[in-house]
Amino acid sequence: MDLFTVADFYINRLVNSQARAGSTSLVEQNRIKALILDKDTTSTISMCATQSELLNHEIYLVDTIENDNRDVMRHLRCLVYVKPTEETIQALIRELENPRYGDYHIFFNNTVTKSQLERLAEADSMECVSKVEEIFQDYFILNEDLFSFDLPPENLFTNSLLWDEVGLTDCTKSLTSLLLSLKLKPEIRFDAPSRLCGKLAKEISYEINQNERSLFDFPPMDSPPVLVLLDRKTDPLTPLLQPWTYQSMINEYIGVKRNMVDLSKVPDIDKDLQKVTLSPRQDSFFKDTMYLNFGELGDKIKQYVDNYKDKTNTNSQINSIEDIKNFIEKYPEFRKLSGSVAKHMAIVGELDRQLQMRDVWEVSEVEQNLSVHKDDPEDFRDLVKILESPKIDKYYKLKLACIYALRQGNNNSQLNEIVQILQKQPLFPVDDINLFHKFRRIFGQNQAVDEGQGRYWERDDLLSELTKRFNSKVRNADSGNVFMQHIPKISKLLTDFSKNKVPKEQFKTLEETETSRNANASPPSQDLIVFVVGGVTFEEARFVHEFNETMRGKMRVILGGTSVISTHEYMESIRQTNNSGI
Amino acid sequence: MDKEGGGNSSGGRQQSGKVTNISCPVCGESIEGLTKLNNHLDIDHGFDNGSPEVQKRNSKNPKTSKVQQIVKNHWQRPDSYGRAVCQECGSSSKKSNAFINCRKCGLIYCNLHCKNIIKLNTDAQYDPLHGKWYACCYRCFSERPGYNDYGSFVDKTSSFIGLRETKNEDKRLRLLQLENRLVRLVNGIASIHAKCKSSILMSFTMRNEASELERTVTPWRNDRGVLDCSVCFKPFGLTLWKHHCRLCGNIVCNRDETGCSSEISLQHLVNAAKDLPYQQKVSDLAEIDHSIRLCYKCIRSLYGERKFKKDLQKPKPQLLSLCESLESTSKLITDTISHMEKFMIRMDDSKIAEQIPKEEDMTESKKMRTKLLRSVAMYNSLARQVSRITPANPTEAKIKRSVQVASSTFINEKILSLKRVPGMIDDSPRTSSPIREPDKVKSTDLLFNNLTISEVKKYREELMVLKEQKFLVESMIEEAKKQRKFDEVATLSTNLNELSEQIATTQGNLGEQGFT
Ligand SMILES: [Zn+2]
Ligand SMILES: [Zn+2]
Ligand SMILES: [Zn+2]
Ligand SMILES: [Zn+2]
Ligand SMILES: [Zn+2]
Repeated sequence: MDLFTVADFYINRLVNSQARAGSTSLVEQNRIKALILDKDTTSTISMCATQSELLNHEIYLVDTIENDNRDVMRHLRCLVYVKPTEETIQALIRELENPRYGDYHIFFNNTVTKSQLERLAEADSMECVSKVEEIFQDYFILNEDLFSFDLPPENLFTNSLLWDEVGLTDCTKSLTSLLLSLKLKPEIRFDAPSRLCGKLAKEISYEINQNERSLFDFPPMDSPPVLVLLDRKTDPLTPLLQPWTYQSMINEYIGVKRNMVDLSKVPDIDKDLQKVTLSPRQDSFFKDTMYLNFGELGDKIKQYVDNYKDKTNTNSQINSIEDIKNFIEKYPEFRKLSGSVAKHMAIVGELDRQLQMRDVWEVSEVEQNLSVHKDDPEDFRDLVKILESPKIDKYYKLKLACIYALRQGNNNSQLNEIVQILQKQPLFPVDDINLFHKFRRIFGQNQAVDEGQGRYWERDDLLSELTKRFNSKVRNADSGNVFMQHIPKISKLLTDFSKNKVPKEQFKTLEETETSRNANASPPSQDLIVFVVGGVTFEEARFVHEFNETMRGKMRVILGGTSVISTHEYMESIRQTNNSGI
Repeated sequence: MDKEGGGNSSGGRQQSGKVTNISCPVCGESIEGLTKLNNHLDIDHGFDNGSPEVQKRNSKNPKTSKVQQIVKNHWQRPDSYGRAVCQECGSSSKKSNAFINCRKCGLIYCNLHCKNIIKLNTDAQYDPLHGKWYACCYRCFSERPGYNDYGSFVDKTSSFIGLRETKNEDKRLRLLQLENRLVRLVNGIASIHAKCKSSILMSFTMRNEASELERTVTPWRNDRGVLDCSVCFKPFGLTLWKHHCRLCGNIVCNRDETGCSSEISLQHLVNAAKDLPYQQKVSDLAEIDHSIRLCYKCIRSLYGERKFKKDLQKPKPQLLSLCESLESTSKLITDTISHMEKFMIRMDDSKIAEQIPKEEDMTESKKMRTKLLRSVAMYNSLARQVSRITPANPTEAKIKRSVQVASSTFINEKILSLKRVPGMIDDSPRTSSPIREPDKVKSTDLLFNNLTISEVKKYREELMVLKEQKFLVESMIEEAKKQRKFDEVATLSTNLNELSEQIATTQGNLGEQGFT
């Protein structure tokens, strides 16, 4: 279950596409190919293939179907790879009515409807289409075990309990394509208190049952794979905390969309580095460092520089990122030598700058303490100190207040005190105070309702041998790290799945399948897809990655979400949540 | 892990000896020894595979318990010294509790390397639906059908073509009707023309008779009640007049901007669809000066596909054919290189064995080298030709850039790494080295005998390369003659001839600039 392997398979089908035997038209003799994409598949391809891979397959032209200014080149063979949206079908119809190229092979990244196919067939009166194929990659691959639909939470839900209709359809389609690409016909378990997850579970299950004979015709497994649907609301704490691993920090402080990092706002940035791509696929330094925390990352970069120093016998003291930056300026040839390290240097430098500028170290320590301790008066004093500090950004104050409300939801007098402090801060927006109250309404009420299920997540006493072993392994890596004390709930969920101890009341199945009836007798699931409705974090992706490493040979987990969110995006999604239905 | 318990060679129950901790494959709990694990599996997880306890309970009915027993006769046995060796890590021991047979393949593994589980039937075959859980090795675990599968796809070509057939049937009928009408119009007009060719009133009678003919061939749509153009839907009025299409009879406007209809001369109509069965020769129709009004839709259905097919018959743009040749050459080079590499490894081996290289190997080596040199020179010259092309449109410009990236990558990765091949790369910076990255032509270059300065330079370089090769081949021929290898002399001579031809062409290209 390596997503990159799946992507390779599909890209190979695409670039090596041959028309069926027998159709030896003139165009078959043309070998030079054009690849025509849409705005979605452009990302799909660029996240998984390099230009030279395409060139190796005689693809000398890449363009988009939306571009109407393409020239007529009748001697090119055209590979079309698009998502079957209404928009692209329209564009494709226009294309086929006036074909620019001699021959078309059309690939869709998901199922096309009969009527879409009919309309295309009608448009193809010149009979220039010689192949139509559905492949299934209607999702974006970020890591070998992480995928995203890139559907921002604002457009997905009518309110925190109800799907937007289009959002639900999009999400169902993409998730179905993921299952098909991995050839999984899973048992579905969903976060029982979540209406969003319940609805999605029904839709997916309907999709599977509808196509049981045609698409989901996979050999039965002795241990069937499981699709776990998780609601972001179940673990609101994780996306609120400042992250500390490389991949998640980039997303938090600079922003990464479909592997593109925009560094143009970084002061004094090199011209070549304004827009860079980051993929564990094509960048070995990133693959080695993406899960490291900021301290380890600094060490890794220092190693690189030290290596260079040894080679060149240069003497400079290097103790900080600032030193490293100066070093690079002094020795421009290091840049050439180290390849992608220059890019990472720019990124790390920017992260360091932002951490200093925003006093993140201070904020994060309080955040972490609040999230792991309960009712600690010292934590509260630290919190008040930060809230009153004039140099801390109001965003962090609001976020800290929310974290406190999540953890100490019942302590009304202290919560009121927090509101009073916030109101006293100069220029603190009324809107943010309202957001704080809204936050309390959403999560306060939820917690009261879920008291019973909520306890599932708190049962630390049941942590078994394996959980302890697993968690201690993770903790050891950051031993004594005050900034990474919090452990996302997904960690407990995975360990419980690995022991087959996830209660059915907490994660329901839609129907009583044989396996769920004899849950006791059956061993734990071997393949898990965990999908977070409302957005997943890179921090959770790191846990999944570490879990996979620990369980190698026994269990495999793939994590995904409607999108990958930063703390800002999560706070914003709560701000946008419609008040009705809360 | 041993759920069958006693009586077998490796998984026998330990009455004595050190008991090791084993983690349960189901819940991961750590358990002291196999016996306790068996009990744990039976009681806590409801495993019931005819373990000894169960057999004892069922002892009154030994037949059923026998049926439940999984086969063991394929199990690997410890060697003659009673030692068992793990298939995976190679660790060995005589202690029977340190080893397990994979219940599926039967091979021996240590406790660490037989930690997976699988559902098997009593024949030890994988049975996902009705089997029971047994311990197995990772190989058997990962080889279960569907476990490492991925990549569904659905070929929709047949259903697409099926749909297209039905949709196109109507269109084809309509097209046939239009073609039929066109032929009748052309034939009719030709005979009217023939009739009144000699008349003084020729143009007048012709117009009258032709317009009568047009209305018999195509029933015109009644224009009353038709308010707007059937193509652009703009309402007719004082400035926008109604016109009838002579093929479909629909009412259209004649705006230039939209091209809803146009008057097209008979000659053009016939020329663009020469394949239709006219009574007269197409060339005879040329002299008739008559135009017919057609609507946009009819023009499209009559001529769109014809134009598309005709375009496909046209010769490929030079850029594309060069791209294809480059590709073929690069494949040839890659193949030759891999051949040569294999060959050289063999030669190295024989050198180590202090064998005298065989003569045929020597000549084979030379042959390959010549082939490689020639294809590299070819690649280089093709790459240069590409860089000389002026793109016809922005798309060609893009393709050209891609090809240049591809060819310089190829040169850097494949050819420049060929330093081991003797004669491949000249270490001296002479221009005659066959491998150089293609230069770009600057528009500021002065024209020289219809060639730019840099073109002249390039041709000269090419010429030098070719001459150098010619010299090489000539010396090889001498060598072969000395060794009395005449069939080789023959092949080399063909090579030589080709080279000489190429030299002549290049010299021709250079014209008087060739004589330096
Ligand atoms: Zn157990
Ligand atoms: Zn072993
Ligand atoms: Zn085995
Ligand atoms: Zn019109
Ligand atoms: Zn017409």
